[in-house]
Amino acid sequence: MTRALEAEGLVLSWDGGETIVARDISLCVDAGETVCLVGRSGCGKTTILHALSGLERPVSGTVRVAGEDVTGVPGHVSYMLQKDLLLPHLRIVDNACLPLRLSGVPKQEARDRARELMGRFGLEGTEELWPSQLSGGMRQRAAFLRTYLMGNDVVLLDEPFSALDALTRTDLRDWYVQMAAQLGLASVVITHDVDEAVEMASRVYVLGGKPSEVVEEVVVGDGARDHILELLA
Amino acid sequence: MTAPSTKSRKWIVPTITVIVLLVVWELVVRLGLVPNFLLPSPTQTLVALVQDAPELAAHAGTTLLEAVLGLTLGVAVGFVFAVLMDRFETLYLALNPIITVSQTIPTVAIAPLLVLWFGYDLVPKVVLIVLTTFFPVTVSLVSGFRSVDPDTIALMRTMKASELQIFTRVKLPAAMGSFFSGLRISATYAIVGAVIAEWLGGFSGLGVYMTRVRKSFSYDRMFAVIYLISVLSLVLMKCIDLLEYACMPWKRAERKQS
Repeated sequence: MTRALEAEGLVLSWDGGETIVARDISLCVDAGETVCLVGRSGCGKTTILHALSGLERPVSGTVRVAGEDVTGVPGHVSYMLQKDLLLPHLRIVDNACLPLRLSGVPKQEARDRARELMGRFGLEGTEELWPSQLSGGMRQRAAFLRTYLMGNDVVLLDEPFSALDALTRTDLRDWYVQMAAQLGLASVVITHDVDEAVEMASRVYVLGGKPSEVVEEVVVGDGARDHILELLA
Repeated sequence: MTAPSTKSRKWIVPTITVIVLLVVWELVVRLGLVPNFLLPSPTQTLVALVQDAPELAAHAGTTLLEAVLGLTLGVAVGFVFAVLMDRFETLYLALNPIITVSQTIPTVAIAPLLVLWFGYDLVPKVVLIVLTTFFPVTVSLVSGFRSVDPDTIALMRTMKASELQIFTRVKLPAAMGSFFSGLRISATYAIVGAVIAEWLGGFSGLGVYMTRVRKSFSYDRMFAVIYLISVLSLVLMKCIDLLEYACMPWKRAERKQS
């Protein structure tokens, strides 16, 4: 079966090969599934997502999206970086439809397509507001919509809820899992919160060691949380 | 009685300060603490301003034309330099020291050379203004372009944005705030630059008028033209404020939020 995203034997460095930050990273995710990467701070989780997104070329190894080798080529997966990165000079609807505009969709058509989805992403009534007028949770929702409108079946999320308060975080997390399943998105999520990982994912890749490697791929079920905590200890 | 709001205090405090200064100045001259031939009073200056209004308006027109023309070209040159320096790191390293050194050359030193090379007409004045105004624009734009969060550029790359799209949709809007700060400085340089250039030769303009009245020891008219130069600079800066207000609607929302 062709995986939505598959990485095999990735070796990653910070400075063009001098310092290896992660090695032998292999992971996969299927359509409609969410997997999480957990590991201590500085273990190279973001570097792994950069490599999966094509922003960084690995020293060795391959990244395949729907069976196609896309190693080091951006644009095949939708990537939501750690911050919401909404452009302050664009209204919310224009931020959301930015990927469409960049791919040449006319302004009105792009805005209409974003507007249609505003309700589903909990953004109704915010279309014409500026990012500075929105709360952290709402900004994050707008960033989710922009990520979705990138139009790829694979979504990479780098600590998407870390900047939010506990309540908003739980709400948004539950909402995302439900929405991603409905839309059939394959998601790879970085988190340092083990509880969040077992809530969201069907499988959790636990990273450890120096340079980092996948210590174990844990299938979420009874006792998964404690087992992951033991692996991270 | 209620205290004035913060908004009205912003106007009231400086207005009262200016009025107090003018009253003190008037009294100092009227009481003979400073000889009148050295320092005309504000009312004498105002009378001179009204009496010479038609002549001053004609000269101000020339100065304003030179300033606006020079400023426009200076902004264009500054923009081109900034874009090239941002795009090509080698060019940034090559040009940055030269541009900085160019600003250490005093305007009054280079103005006579420009008159010598380009004559007494519009050209040397505009060239001098371009030389003095492009620098703040270049520096502010380059720093604005470089202030963009690298993660935003990375995000744009994941959306397959071209270099031109990254420039127009991210870098240029991000640099607008610092660009307008630079433009405000350039606007004041433009008027002063025009007057300095006119001092050294020309047929019309506030600098030419200033040279004439100085030679005739008409210090009231000299002060009248100083007032006028200040007013022109303030008007130009206000125009830039309005342009910024119109071009950056999201800033208004940010200010309201804060």
